[in-house]
Amino acid sequence: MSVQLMTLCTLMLFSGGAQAAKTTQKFAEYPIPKANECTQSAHQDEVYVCLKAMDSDADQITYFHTALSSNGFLPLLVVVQNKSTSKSLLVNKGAISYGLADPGNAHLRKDTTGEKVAVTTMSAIPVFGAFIAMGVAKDVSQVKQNLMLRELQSGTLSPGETMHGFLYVPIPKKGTRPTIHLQFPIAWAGSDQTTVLPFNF
Amino acid sequence: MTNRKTFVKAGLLCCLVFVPAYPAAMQAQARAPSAAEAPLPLNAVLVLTPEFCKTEFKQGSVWTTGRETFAVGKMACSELEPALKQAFAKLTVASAIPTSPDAAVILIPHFADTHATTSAFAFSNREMDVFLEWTVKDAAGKTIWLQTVQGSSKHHMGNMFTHGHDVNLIVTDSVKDVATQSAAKMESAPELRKLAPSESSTPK
Repeated sequence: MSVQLMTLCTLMLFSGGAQAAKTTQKFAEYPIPKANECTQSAHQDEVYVCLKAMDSDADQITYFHTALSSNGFLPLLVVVQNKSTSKSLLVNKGAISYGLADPGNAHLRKDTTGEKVAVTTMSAIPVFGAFIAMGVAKDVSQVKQNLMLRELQSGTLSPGETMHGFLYVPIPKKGTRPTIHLQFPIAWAGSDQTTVLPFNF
Repeated sequence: MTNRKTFVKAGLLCCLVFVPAYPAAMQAQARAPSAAEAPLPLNAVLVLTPEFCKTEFKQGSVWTTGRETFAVGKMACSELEPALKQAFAKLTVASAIPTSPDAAVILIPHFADTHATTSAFAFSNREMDVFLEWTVKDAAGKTIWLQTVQGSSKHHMGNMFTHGHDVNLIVTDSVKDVATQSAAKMESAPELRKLAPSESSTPK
């Protein structure tokens, strides 16, 4: 009887240890490049924006502990630097839009010359909650937490400041990834004017 | 023997000298706010719409882990005002964006996201993160500051009898944290400090 009790206690201790190990998952830090050192970088009005798509499943598993592409999301690192010496930049995540260069996603519209051209439908980048709704990493709550903590958030960049974070762009789960069109709006604090930096990758 | 007594006496003396000194030093630090921590000499209006106060996040499944509801909006509508009153010389609350140009700054909160980890055991800690997005407009209605502030807390998962209480605790502490962090971020934001009038015209 006492042996059974001891076995039960040992099992409970081990399961507690395993749980503790599970709850203290460590996620590797992704190396953050400088805003002007990316293959996909652009600048306008003293603002540098760098985009780096994490297409590799191996990288996704290393840094997020889940393969996001096969679940229909591409992690996209965004680095923004405000090189202005006097103006503050507003980074509004809700205003960043994307579209996929996929014939099924494009519709035809006549341009100014009357010729029909394919126009990609642009949508807002979904917020983290979409992951839960779509069942990505549904069993591991620390994985979800890590995805959320690394997500790009809206913010103000004072002169000289830099910010970075990931956007999770919806993509088809199977097949070759289509070209992504992304529009990054640049708005200055206290100004009504917004310009857009376009990216295709 | 004498050496041992001397050692014990020296130890006691060290305790007497250093232990009370530590809280005193902490208090001294707390009493001396830096220039960035001084309240902003601005009239601010905090916009708490009925929709914002009703914000709830749900997670989990009814059939497997159990459906949890985090009533973050209700808690925010009671915690934001007292926290932000420390950051501004004058703060009033409105249920809609004011049209009169009396306010120097209009503070509009919006919950960007919320997530709580789960745990298999009642006494294991779980973490909750709340992301509150602030849009601050000037009297002309132009956006001058945009910031996402994170609030976090840890509490027990709770068992079937205490789970509701523990969910309330984790929501309360996360929202209190996000309110405190928001006040600190606003106080130190150069974009808001720039709007502050000179000392002579500070609002009373």
